[in-house]
Amino acid sequence: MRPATHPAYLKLELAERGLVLDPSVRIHSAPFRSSTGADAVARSLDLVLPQGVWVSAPVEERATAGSPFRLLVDGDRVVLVRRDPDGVETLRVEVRAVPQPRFYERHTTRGTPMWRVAAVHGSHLLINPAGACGFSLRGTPCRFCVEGAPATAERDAAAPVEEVLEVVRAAFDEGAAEFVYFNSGFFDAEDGGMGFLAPYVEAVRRHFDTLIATQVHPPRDNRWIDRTYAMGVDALSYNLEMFDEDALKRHCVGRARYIGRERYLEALARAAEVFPSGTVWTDLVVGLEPPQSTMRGIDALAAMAVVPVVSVFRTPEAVGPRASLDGAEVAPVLARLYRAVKERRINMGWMRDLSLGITPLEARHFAGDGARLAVAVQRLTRFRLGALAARSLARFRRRLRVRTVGESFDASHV
Amino acid sequence: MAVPQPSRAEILIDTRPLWRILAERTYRPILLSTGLVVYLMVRTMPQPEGLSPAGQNALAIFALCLVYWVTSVLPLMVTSLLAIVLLPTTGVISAKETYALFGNEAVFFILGAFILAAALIKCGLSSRIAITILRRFGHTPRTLLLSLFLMNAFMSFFMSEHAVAAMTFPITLEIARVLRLPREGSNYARALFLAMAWGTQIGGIATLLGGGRAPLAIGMLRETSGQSYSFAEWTLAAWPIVAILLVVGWQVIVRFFPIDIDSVRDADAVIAQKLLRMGRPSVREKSIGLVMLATLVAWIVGGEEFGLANIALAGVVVIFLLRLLTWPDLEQYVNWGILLMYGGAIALGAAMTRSGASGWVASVTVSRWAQTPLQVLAVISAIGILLTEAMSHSAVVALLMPVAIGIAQQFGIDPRVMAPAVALPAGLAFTLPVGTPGNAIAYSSGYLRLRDMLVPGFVLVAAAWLAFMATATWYWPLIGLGVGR
Repeated sequence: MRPATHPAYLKLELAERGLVLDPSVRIHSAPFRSSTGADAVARSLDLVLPQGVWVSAPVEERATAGSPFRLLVDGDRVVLVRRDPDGVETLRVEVRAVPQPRFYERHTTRGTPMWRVAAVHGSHLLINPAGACGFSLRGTPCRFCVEGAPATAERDAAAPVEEVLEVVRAAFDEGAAEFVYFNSGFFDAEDGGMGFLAPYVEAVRRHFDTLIATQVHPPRDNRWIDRTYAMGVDALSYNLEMFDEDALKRHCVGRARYIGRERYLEALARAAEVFPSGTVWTDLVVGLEPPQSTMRGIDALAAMAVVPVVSVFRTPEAVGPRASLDGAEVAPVLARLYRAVKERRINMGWMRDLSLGITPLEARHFAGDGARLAVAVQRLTRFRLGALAARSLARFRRRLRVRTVGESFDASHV
Repeated sequence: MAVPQPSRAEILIDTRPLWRILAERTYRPILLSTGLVVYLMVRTMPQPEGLSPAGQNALAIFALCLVYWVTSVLPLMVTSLLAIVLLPTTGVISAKETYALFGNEAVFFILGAFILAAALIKCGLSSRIAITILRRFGHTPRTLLLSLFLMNAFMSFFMSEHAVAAMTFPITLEIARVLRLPREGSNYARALFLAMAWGTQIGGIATLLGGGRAPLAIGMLRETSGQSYSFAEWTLAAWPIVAILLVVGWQVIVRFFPIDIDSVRDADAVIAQKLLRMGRPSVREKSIGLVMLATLVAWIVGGEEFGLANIALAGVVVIFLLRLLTWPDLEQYVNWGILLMYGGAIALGAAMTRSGASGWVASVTVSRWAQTPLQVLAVISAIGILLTEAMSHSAVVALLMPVAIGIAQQFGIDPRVMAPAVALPAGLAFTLPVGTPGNAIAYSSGYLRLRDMLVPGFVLVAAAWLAFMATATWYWPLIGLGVGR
């Protein structure tokens, strides 16, 4: 497969440049799934590229006018076409368009539209029960933030646990998602938001046999990291977003001011000790700091056994026109991503089906490596039996690792 | 929505490699099954020559207890209870006999000793004695260290060595703290904690009060051979080893950890302050001291006539008559479980001997390795001293005594020799924190590393074995404990 056509490269290009929807798509009977839920006009679409690579491709006309990509429906097939500036077709590949989940059209028993409670990203059901991010409430949102920045809701409007359970049940019943992914935004609290999420995590754990990921901000006390694992969270992210300290201060004022880069790194290091290999990750946004800085970040994070996930800078409407990314600059970053994680022998199988970020395993194409074993193992987890084994192992590991202080004294026979 | 508070039970995440955690968590069912398999194998194997069916059953129970005691997969006392259940149900001895053995005099002697020690600790007299000794003698680094060492040994003559270690640990820790000794690299700190741990152990073998080993061994001896020891006889047999080990132990401590501080003025001031805070001895302290003294004298002069347990229990009754201790106070200090352990071990030991199983084990083990009584003693004591490094002292006695009695019968050794031959080495664990609670307490201070205990401890263990052999060979015959050659 030529570099320009391998799915990870396509993902990078699509994420950055977006695609134009052919009229044949607009008249297609089954509406495609929007990455941002069913909220009004879709800003991006979730697609599955060859080799099961998920991508969230921007589709807003203003942002994708110059895109070489066009998505069209040809009979039963959904096809992605790329043309060069002269209009010559350089690529035609069949992709899978993910239909809009049916539960988006339903309401909870309290009358809330379900799409307001949860949205499907890749194979994850993303739930943000808090609604607003604390950075936004303080007037310091990250400049590129799509979800938290515009939010103005107060935290009193947090979704009740029962309502969240209802939506998770609906999503799982129709097979729209495999995992639950909680996002709490920023909380100015000792627990970094985990205290707020705890009842949700525990309720989902009690009612569903699934893996749970959370994206929160570092707690002030490392004991909350231990509690996060103990309460049933399987994968954890403290998103640093960018490694360069100045860039962080510039683009993520809240992160830099209220938490600080060092605390992110400390908390990630501790989390990587506690959680299974490959389940602690952080996003690094390419395009907002020099590639060399991103690569330093990749190395530093991998050295702590943290998985870096590279996401493409996407400008929210409020910030201005899209900055252009140089693919030639990003390719070495992604190659480094794969190599660094591989060298540190971090499990690459857990990070999958992320439509908004490029995982180390997806980045293998940039390093020219097949990573057959890692791919095979990840593929196994897509089967029902493999997924069951993965969940059982995660539970078993937690049972072995989590102890209370009392048990520890008993075990020491002192 | 209310933000939940952190769980009251503090969470710890065990970040060791998973295989290690797994091994730790699965060892229990594996060991329990191993014990069961061993039991069934011994019970169902073709009956060996010289072993009766009852003896084979007793041996099977012994093998089961051996696995469980050595590995501590069950609490020691629960294993003893298991033995008590199995002995009558497998027909080794009747239920009536089993429970009669359980009510052995040794068990009540230990109970009495525990209660008297509880009274000493509760009223603060034991702390007063410790502080007074340190105040009187500990004015220089050398004399403070020596006082601590000897004081721990001395206190262990009269009360359980574990209780002494627990009592003097906070004092030792405070001395290290006020002297600002660094946790790493301070010779004096290491010497202090080793002096505390080793002092209690060496002192603990001197009398019948230092721990349960000696009363247990005597109880098993009495049930199997009808012979016994008085308080004074035991002390007479043990003191040379204690004396030698106190000298060698001191030399090992100061040679391995040469004193590296010039003054203990700060510690001296703290000790003086503590003594000042204690004030004058209360009537309660004085009364308990008097009762303890009277009991000691009675043990020495009237132990044979009235029985050690009787005297101990009389002392207990007097303490309650004078309202010097309340029952709830007592319950905090007495390790009731250990009484069950001793009762079961004595019953099992007696069953082994009466059924001929101990003689059979002796004939196929030690008898093959040793040709003379002295060699037997050397082997038994070496096994005891090695096992006790990793096992409970009492469990070592429970395991070795039945076999030792069997060997004594085969080699024509006075069975009385076997009680100190097993119980004294079983009390000398110097190298590992797991060997005894005293070592574990010292190690928990954070001032000692494992290798600080391993190498000097090994030297002391070797010296202890040599001291034991020298005592058994040349001294015991002088006091009527003929080993024979």
